[in-house]
Amino acid sequence: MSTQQEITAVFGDLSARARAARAQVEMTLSEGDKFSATYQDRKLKKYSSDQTASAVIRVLKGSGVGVATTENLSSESLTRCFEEALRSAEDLDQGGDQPTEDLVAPAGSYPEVKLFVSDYEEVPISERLRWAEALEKEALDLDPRVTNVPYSIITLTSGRTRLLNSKGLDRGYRSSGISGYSYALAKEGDKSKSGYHSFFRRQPGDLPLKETAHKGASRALDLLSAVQPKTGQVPAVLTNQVAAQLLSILGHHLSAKSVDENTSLLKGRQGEAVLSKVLNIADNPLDEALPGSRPFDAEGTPSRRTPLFQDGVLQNYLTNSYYARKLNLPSTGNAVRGRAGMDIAPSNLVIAPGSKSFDELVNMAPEVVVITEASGLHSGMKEMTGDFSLPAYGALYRDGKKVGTLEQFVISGNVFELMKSVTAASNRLNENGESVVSPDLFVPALSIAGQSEA
Amino acid sequence: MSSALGKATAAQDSVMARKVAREVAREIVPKAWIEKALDQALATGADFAEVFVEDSRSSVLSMIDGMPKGATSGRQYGAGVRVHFGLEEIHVTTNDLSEAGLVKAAKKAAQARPEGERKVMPVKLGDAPAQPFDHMVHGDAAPIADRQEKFAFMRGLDTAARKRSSLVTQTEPLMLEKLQEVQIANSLGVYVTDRRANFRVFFEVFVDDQGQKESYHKDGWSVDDPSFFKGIDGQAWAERTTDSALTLLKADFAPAGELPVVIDNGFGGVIFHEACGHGLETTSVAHQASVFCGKLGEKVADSCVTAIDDGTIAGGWGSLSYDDEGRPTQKTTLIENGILKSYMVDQLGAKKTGYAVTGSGRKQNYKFTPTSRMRNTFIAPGDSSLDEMIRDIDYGIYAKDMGGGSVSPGTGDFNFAVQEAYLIRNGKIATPIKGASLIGRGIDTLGRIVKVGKELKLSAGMCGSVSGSIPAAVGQPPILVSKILVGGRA
Repeated sequence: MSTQQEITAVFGDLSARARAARAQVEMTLSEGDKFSATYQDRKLKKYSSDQTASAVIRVLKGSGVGVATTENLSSESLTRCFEEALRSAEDLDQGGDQPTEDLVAPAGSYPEVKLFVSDYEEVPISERLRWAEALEKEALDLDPRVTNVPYSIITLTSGRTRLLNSKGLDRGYRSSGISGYSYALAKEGDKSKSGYHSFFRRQPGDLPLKETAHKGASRALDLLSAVQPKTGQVPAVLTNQVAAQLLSILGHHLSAKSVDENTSLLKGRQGEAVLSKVLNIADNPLDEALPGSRPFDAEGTPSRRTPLFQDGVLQNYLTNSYYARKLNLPSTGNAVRGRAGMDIAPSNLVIAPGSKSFDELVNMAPEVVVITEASGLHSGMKEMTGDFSLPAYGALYRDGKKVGTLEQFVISGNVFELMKSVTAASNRLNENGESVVSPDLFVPALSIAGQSEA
Repeated sequence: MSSALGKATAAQDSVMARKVAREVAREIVPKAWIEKALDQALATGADFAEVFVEDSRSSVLSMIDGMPKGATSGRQYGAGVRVHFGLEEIHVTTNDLSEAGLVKAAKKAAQARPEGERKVMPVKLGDAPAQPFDHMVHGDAAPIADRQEKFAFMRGLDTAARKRSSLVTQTEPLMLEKLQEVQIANSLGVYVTDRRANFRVFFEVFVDDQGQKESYHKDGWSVDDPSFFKGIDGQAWAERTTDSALTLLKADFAPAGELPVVIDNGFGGVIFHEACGHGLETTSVAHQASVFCGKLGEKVADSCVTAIDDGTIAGGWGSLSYDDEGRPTQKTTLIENGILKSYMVDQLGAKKTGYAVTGSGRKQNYKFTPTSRMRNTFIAPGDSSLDEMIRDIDYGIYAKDMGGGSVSPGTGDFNFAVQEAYLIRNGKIATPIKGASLIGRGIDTLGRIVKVGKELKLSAGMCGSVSGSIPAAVGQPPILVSKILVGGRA
């Protein structure tokens, strides 16, 4: 393990080695502490304490880019890591006039984003355990039919990120956060139903423990009386959480890398009304309440808010420094580290709220199906085409009044077509600690597979 | 919380097993340091302590437009100290693998109960044994070796796909390699060292016909041969992947509603993995959070169904010499002729339920604690034929190739995606269809598996659950499900 001063010295040495090899080098250090506690059966089930440290070294040589990572931060290990990244860059260097990535030079200023509250050392272990205990207790005490809360988890994290490169950049930031997750089971007769909710906060005071536990448990209780809807096309409200899940697919298609590689459905469509005029969407890395915020991206480009869709019209793609240069697009500071090198992704994808209340939305048709939960996105949503077929839960509303809950059905369609058909958005945003934020959305027709017609 | 399986393969036609000499894997840190850490972890009254040390290497190679695009390599290096005070579990991790670092982590774990007194005496560890099976990788399989050969193979895939059809607009070959070395010791005297490897090649083809876009992917894999890709006929493989993508361009959307479905062998086994497998892990059974709780000895499926979870299959994607608690893996019969015979049991699960451990304690890496997880899980062969299953259906679906799935074990509600499928009309395979999830409730669907075919095939996936993402194989012969909800377009 090395101190920050030792890291500075090691990086000086790596920069010299890179210069000697006619290469450039960048190093990202991440160090953090994570504490989590889980309660079950009204007893502490588990607590864990993790200290993590890792370094990612990126070397650029000619047209080649090599990346190596290590969790061993000794100077010997970091040097080996550099040599490995250099070798990878040399292996990939095609010579000739291939486009070349470059490092990001220090900027004149960076936005102030307050992501760090504390390392939470002032919060005693007993208090942290009490939070996890409360998450379970509040769910169990809500109703005797809540028989089991398999997961009541509190997690506290604090960390430090430092980015250095051979163009003289050396910046860092700290972050911290507390998240909670409650997953309850409710049983009645042979029926067993589950529901969950979560939260994310930075401040340790006034955590929504009771509210989170009750929301998860209530969802499970609600489903005990659920019935299977009939197969057909129905007017529907996608609750903010479900809308956020579906809209997360935009990340891939907004990436300038996907555009360049011909895998984006948004290629060549800037200025076109791709989505409903109800939808105004931006990438916002500066909102301190959201988990994806940061003052600069993975390459060191200062963060900024980027409008993506204005009244449904595509405004911008998301870029890192390489694709901004290659495609002559504005630099949006959306570089992230991917599995196979530098990638592009949204920080927080934020859909602006509309003007209608949820009650108004469910009154937009005589009978409306509200989709409260969709799952299986990793297999049931095809990123490339936007086609989806997802198991869902929901509720049936008649004349604006809830008349029952629904289960065992599948919603299907195409995200882009569905989002083009949205006619209204609510003023209510999801607050479950996710980096995609959306209001509830009304669509006139959604395909549902459920009970077959007799 | 749900558990989910993502696909790692569809193209490997047979498991490739190389016979290699059994040997003792290396010690990452001196055994004496681990003994000291265990001693410290037990100092305040823990009744069990474990140290799990890991040094893993990984590599990812990617290509786009037929050109090498990315080369990354990684090293995971750390330890987890786990202690039990009764049924309470404490876990502390560190990246500091010095003697002082390990002892500090152990002390931190013990301090969860600072007021306690020692119950378990210090343990003297024996020598690590040779690996009990001969199917694991040995020797120096440096993940970044033979890079130019790998890029040449990937380039060959790209060339073959583009040659196959002018509608191919892009390909994405990817090679992932991981070599995990572990050292596991506990206060019961267990002490093992182990090397696990997995190698994968992933290939996605993108096609575009006048603005209509589709893509299809296939994977190949090995656990014991870093050069396994040399055994793949790259041209035929790329052409099959391209043909599947082109088929999707012509496919209609799947119908919506409850239909009979014939699910072909290999990754079709995802249905058992999701519908039943996760519900048989003590991870959920121990907390009454599974619909299969209390059903041992009961009939839970048609008598044509026998299901097995086997960690000992030579060259199996989910096979291990030792599980992540240092116990030799086993072959576990879960369901025999429709009767529930066994759960999958890890050490803490055994303590909570009283069932014997089955060598099923698994986790992604040192940052997780192990829980009971599947290894190679499959429905055993029956005596029906695929033709006979299809012949008996007037209107239904033949699911030839599946995607991933997920389940909520507490309710048994599961889903999985169809990647390549066809309508069955009047007993014959008809037109291709696309884009559907199949959903159901595990225990109900299990009862609707009414025919099991003869040709068992295993395929590989990555299974995500509370102890992280792990390699797990699924498999089955072709099966007929008499009725399942198909989530097509209404």
